[in-house]
Amino acid sequence: MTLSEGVPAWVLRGTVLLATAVITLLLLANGVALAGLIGLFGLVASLVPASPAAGLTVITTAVCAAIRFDSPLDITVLVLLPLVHLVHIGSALAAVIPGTARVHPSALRPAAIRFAVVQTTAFAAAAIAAIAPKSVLPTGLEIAGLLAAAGVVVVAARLILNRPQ
Amino acid sequence: MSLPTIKWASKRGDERQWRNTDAMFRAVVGGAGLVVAGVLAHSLVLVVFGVPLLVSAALATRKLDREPTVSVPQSVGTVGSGQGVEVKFDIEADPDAELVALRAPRPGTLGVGRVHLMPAKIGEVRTELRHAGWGDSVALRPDYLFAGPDGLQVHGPHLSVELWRRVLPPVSLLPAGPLSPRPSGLVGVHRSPRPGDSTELRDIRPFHSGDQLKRIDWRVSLRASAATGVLTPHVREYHADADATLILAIDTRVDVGPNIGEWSLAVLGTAVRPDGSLDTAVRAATALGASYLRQGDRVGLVDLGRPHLSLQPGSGTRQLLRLRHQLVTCSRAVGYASKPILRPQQAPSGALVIVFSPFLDDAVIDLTATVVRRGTRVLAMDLLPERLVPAAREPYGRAVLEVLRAEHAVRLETLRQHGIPVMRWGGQVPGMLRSLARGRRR
Repeated sequence: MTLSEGVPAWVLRGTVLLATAVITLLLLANGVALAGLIGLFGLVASLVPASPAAGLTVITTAVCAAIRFDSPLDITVLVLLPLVHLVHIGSALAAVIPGTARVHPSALRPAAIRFAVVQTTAFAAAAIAAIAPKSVLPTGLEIAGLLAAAGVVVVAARLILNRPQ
Repeated sequence: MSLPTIKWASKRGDERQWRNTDAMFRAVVGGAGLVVAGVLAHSLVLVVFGVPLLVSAALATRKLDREPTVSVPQSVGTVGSGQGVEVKFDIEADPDAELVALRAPRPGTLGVGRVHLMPAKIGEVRTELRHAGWGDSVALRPDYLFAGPDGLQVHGPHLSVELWRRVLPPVSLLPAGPLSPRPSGLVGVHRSPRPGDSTELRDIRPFHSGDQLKRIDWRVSLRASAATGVLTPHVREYHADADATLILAIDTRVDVGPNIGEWSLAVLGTAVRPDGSLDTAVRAATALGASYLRQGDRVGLVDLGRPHLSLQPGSGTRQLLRLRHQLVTCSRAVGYASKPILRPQQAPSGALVIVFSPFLDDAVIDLTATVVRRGTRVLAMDLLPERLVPAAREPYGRAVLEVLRAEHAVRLETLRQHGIPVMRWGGQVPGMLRSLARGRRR
């Protein structure tokens, strides 16, 4: 293949910034006081994608949404889900190239397909979560949840420790 | 700490193997943290936010073990000005590696280029290296990095060695004029004052012992005998052919452009200022050298700033190639010496020396006059840009320009008073060289 021009790498960073701006506006519209801080994290994440700012954006948004909204099927939560994931993926891809790089769109096609698959899974998880009882849970379900959480931690530890960072 | 943990910690940041990025850490730790926190706090919203991160990390995690490579050309070599060079990068990676970031110039662009993020399965990448001018420059620096899906695992970055390329100055042939023939060497295209075997008539004189019989002009001999009554054979005498030696003396101590304010500033990305005095000197020297070498003359090179880089006079196409290489070598760095040097043995007797300089100091004037006093024929090629622009930010910029012009005019007048013709590089050069040669004959 002959090397073509591609698109500027700031498109990735711009996507992160745009997603963060929409998150901030949504949270501000719902009266979340920390929305400005999330916007600041997002700005830093778009400027320095390899920094912890992207992680802080994701976690702060999730915590704020958990405090503000009760149901995972709330329309704001459903809009926030892909935006937060976009911040995560955009920062991850922008972190491996310098800001002056060029991105060939064909390189992003698998990531876009995976994004769609993950979002479908997330919406399915939200739908399943919505039908779970909201009052006191049966003991068996509570234990199953705790065991599942412990399993997630074990899997996460294996994912992290199987390669150096 | 357990052994795997110590092993993991000891290999952090090792770019020679596949490793997780901060994004992987964010996805796994952040996702797991949100899910666990959601379960413990009975917050389904937290769980829903954590699930995409975990699923994303699980989908993007691959067993990447094979070391990926990018095969790059080992050298770019020497090219002529205006020639393009196609280079090919062979990319070999694990099938699960998804992205490659490679630094390479796009076809038709200058410099080492930008980093391009492409699919790792691309196989090979082709591009064409271009160059604007001439000289030594960095052609390629193919740094690369491989990344797994979503950039959660990376291999690299691998910093490559810079590949240098030499672009030879362009050759534009001029109609070369006659030069002063050398007393030695009965070859070449120039008419020597001595008798020889060319076809140009020099004289008709009485026959002497040793003259060839075929040279006897019987018609003249019979007329002479009719007038004197004594048969005296007369012979036709012809001029000898001779070659000539041209010495190109380049002042590499200074390189100035039209803007005086930029004279003390380096030009980024190149050793020679484009369209500056040194650039013009090299292009002019190449053109003159090529023109005179084509007609069989001998051409040498003298670097006034670094005499050890000089080139002995020689002839032929190999000498032209040597000359172009040496001009690039001489132009690698400007301002090496404060005083110009041209040793007597560098300008053989009978040679024509052309001094290429902007004549901005007295030292080069003294040197040129000294060479003339040695009996060598010298031409001065003034390379100071014609339209100088004063330094815009300097309060005395215009005054400096006026003083500089006045001093320059005095220096050129001094050269003329020493009998040194001064000319500027341009279309009138061949004509001036021819008129100088005609003046010599008269």
